[in-house]
Amino acid sequence: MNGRIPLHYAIIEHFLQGVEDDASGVVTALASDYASYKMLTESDVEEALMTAKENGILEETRCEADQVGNPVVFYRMTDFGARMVERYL
Amino acid sequence: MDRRVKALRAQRMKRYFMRGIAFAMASGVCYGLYTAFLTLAETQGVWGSWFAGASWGSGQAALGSFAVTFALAALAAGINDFISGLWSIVVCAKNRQLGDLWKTVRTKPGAVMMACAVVGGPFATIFYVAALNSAAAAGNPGVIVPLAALNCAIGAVLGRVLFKQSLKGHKIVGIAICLFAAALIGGASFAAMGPQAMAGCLFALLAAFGWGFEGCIAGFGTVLIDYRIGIAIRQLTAGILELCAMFPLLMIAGDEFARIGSVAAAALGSPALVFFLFAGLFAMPAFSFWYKGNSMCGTALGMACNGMYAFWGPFFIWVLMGVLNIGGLAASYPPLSGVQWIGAVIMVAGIFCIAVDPRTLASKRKRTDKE
Repeated sequence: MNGRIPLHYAIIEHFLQGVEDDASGVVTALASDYASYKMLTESDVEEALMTAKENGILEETRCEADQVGNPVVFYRMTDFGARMVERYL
Repeated sequence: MDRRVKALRAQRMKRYFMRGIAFAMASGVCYGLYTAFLTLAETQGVWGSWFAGASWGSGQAALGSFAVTFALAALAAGINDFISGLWSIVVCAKNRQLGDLWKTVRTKPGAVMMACAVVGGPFATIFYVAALNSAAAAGNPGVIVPLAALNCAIGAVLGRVLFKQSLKGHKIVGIAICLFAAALIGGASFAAMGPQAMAGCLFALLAAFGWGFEGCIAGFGTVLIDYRIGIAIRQLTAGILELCAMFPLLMIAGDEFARIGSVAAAALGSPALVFFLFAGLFAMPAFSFWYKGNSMCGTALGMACNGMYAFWGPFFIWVLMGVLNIGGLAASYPPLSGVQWIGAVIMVAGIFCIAVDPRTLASKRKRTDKE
């Protein structure tokens, strides 16, 4: 066990201070701190981001295509999300 | 953004949405299975003697009726929830989440999850098991399951009161349909089974209240807490409270203080424990998929899909105990009556009506037509 906050909290807190990012960006940013975590995969993080969006914590900013033409969705935190993080995390 | 990327993105969102519905649906199926195994467990070994009001163990006198209805409910719920908590820990260990589990417990969202466990566990589960016991004693345990499914309606009302969520016309209509269906099912059982089943129905409504509250709050909590960690916190909190606080307190209230130890020992030594292992195994996804489904496709739709257990509960009780005759009591578990099934179907329709705005459905259809 490392001294870090739980992975799911870290995924949400990654978007504090107006950071805009996509799932692979989150994985890269957290990779060194959470290297031993089995759940830090792009598809798991993407699902966590979509769920946060569904519940109003994050919002979608843009969607681009990567080199092979797959969609890459970028998110940022909403005001509501920032208030929730301040109150609970 | 080119069209291919747009289409791929739409496809991904649809896959996500369907995955949410699949989680919520699976939670209803697991809920029915957990109900059936719990009902089965409580007909086996020493549990059978307790509920029959017979002497048990080596010539111990029958337990008092209060202890049978409430203390045994706490004991059964506690064994079930604690076992499902152990299963949840196994799942967390497999996913290397034990560290996060321990850390989450000590944070605010972890505390909120524990508070939900208190309302959904000791409070609601004990009433639910008490409801099952009363209805099972009256010969038809499936009847209370659709009533407990009213938690969806109660959740919508609580959401309105606590979180100022919308309560549009279609939701009120849906709730009215559910209440009508409940009356229909209650009427059918009232004629067939008498006051004992009616008491079961009342307990089931109290359970529905607790779960409505829980679904409201814990569903949102799953955005911040991984659902596998959330369920471990919920089931362990609930199981420990039920076993260590509610069971002894209710035994004392039932004037059975002297026999707390012997009843607990008899339950843990009973072969019925095998069925509790299965009940606990299915209770884990029943609740964790419920939270997960709610957080993925919205509480309303998630709860409506989960509410399908109005079918799955009576269905699996009948399959396990009637058709497969596990427990050897097939004659006591005939299929539900036609009226009860019709009531359950109407209730599911009502739950769906609460969950889905007909105007949204209509506008979606229009959009699809245009494309």
